[in-house]
Amino acid sequence: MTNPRSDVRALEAALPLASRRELLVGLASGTLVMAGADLLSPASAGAATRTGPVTLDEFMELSEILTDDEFSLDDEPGALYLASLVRDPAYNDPLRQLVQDTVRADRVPRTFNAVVRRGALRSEAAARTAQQVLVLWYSGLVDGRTADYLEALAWQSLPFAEPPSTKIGFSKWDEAP
Amino acid sequence: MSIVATADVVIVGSGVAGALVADRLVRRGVSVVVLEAGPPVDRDRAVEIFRQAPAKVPESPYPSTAHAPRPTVLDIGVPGTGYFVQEGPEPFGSTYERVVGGTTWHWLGSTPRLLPSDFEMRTRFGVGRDWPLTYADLEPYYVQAEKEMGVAGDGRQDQGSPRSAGFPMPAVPISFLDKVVRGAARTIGLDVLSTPQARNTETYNDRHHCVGNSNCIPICPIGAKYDAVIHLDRAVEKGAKLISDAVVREVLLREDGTARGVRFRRPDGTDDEVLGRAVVMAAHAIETPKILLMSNGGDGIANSSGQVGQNLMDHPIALSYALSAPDQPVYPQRGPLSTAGIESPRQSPDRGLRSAFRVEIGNDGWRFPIGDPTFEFTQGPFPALREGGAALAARWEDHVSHELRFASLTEQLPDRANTITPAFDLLDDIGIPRPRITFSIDAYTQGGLDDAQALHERLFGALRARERTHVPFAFGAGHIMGTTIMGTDPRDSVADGFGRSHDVPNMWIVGSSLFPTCGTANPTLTLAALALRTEVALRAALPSLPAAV
Repeated sequence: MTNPRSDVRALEAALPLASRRELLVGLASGTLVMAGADLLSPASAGAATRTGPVTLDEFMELSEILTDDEFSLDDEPGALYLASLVRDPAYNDPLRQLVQDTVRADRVPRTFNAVVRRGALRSEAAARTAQQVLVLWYSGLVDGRTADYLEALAWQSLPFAEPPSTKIGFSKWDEAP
Repeated sequence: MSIVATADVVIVGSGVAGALVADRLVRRGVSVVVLEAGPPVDRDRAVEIFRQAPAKVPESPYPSTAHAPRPTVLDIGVPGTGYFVQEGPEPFGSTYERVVGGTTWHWLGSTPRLLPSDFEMRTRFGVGRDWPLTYADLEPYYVQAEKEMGVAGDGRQDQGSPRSAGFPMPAVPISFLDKVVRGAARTIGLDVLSTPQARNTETYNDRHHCVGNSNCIPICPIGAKYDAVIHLDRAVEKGAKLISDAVVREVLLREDGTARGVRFRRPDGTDDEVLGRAVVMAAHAIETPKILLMSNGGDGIANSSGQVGQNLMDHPIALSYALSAPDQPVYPQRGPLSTAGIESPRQSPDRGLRSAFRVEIGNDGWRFPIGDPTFEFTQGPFPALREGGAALAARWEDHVSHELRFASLTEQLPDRANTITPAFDLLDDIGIPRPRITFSIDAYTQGGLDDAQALHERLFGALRARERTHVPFAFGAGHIMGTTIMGTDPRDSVADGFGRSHDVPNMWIVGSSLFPTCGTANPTLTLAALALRTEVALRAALPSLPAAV
């Protein structure tokens, strides 16, 4: 069986960032053909940004806001997280509404607290969805699989530690960091 | 079926015991074939598999093949799952690997010695058994094993086991967390000692020194921790033949009762044989007795005592965890997973009544009781609803930086009712019986578990620890022992003090299955020392053994 990721590598490299992210979403969700057709149409991509399904660009921006932009978040696991959320009826509509209330708003909030102040997490569904977005990024786990271990925020947010299994290690561990 | 190899010595199992014997023999001109049920492991590939595994359990980097399945901790306590056929009444909680290099791939690396009193439990305390050798008999081989494996330790500290030589390497520095615990422990009359461990603190035998990747279990990414592949590779370089993916299913006997070799099954289901003048069983404390009991058409061999597969022991673990005081972060997740312990309870005067224990201090946060932080985050109160951003990151960092855990290893006495037998009615994918296990923890060990958790609670008190949890059941330590015990009386033991079968004169057993009692020391160094002692005896006996035909 061919690897769809390698099949589209050339296309991926040629695309601008936003479109590259759409491609990743297509791969993650198994809808590459449909997504790929849309990718080549700038008009349809523009329309999706405002009213359509949540794009990877939008999801990444939302993720950065929910984490206060403290981490360098990677597209590839992001695409897997987005695909998982979209597949889940408990999160799909709330996620779209959350994006509508934040990333697509006139004045985009830049921090988690700003999102709260704006009232975007007032509903239980929106709050649960934001919580799930954070769980995905911190755990690096999605649908029972590992999307990204080394970059999972559960490790990246610990300034005194490194994810185990890297060869970096520590110069010493017998004193406080 | 064909004879694919003939050698002076056929070794079944490529873990530390088999590898050390192979290396020693082949360096002295003895021809050796080593058979391993599982495949070889590529370290970098295994590290990548570990990273991809959603559950970072000890077995996660290693394959469980159809022809050499193995238990995992994920199966323990889940009836009807896994490789073991668990008959209870309690689940047996320890696992092992079936790969080239054996379980040293995922061991912790701690190498305390047994205490002199551990060899004389019957004489000194009226429980268990005496070993057929003394601490003094084994001490020179402890020195050799420490040198072979590369043990780092602090020779100035009295661990209760007299030493005739220093450690090969300076001690692994104890962690900041250890120091915090030590400060608290001293206020209640206890001390924290550096744990000897087979982990390089300087370049040793061409291997890198430890840089504290904090992943000894399940895999050291740089090979600073000793594993048996070091000696296997050396043995193969000197001419030993290693056959992997060869599942030994029986020891073949001549009419005179001597062993003539072994029969093994390949992944495709075909059988072949390897012949030798001597056979060394080095397949750990589950597979070794299973193979012996499967031999001779399922009637078993080397079992005139009836005790092959009996006296299964572990070091049942009392596990406790907590958060340190708010003003005292301990910064775990750095350095080897454990660098120190509290050893004085090993020498309890009450050993006639209740199990002794040693307290292992973990540097791995709550990875043992809960899981990797990536998993812990999905289980705990993170994030609270409507919590995120920098505040969440700060609360998580604060939480993890305060994580403490203690794991105390208790002693289990030999009990003939704790058994491993071949499940002839439940076969694996290539038609070989799976291990059927009966197991229980008696009042003696439960007393030690209770005492250990009481001590943990005192330590937590001295530390002003919060959110204290004492797990209400015992974990397996991964220390599988005692299923072919040695002794002086053939009616009551399987092998003599050198590991030589009482019944099959050209078959030796190495590994922790020989232990008549198990003390409270992590067993690998002791089984390595015993294996080196066995090698000397075996080599001395070789000239008198029948030719391999």
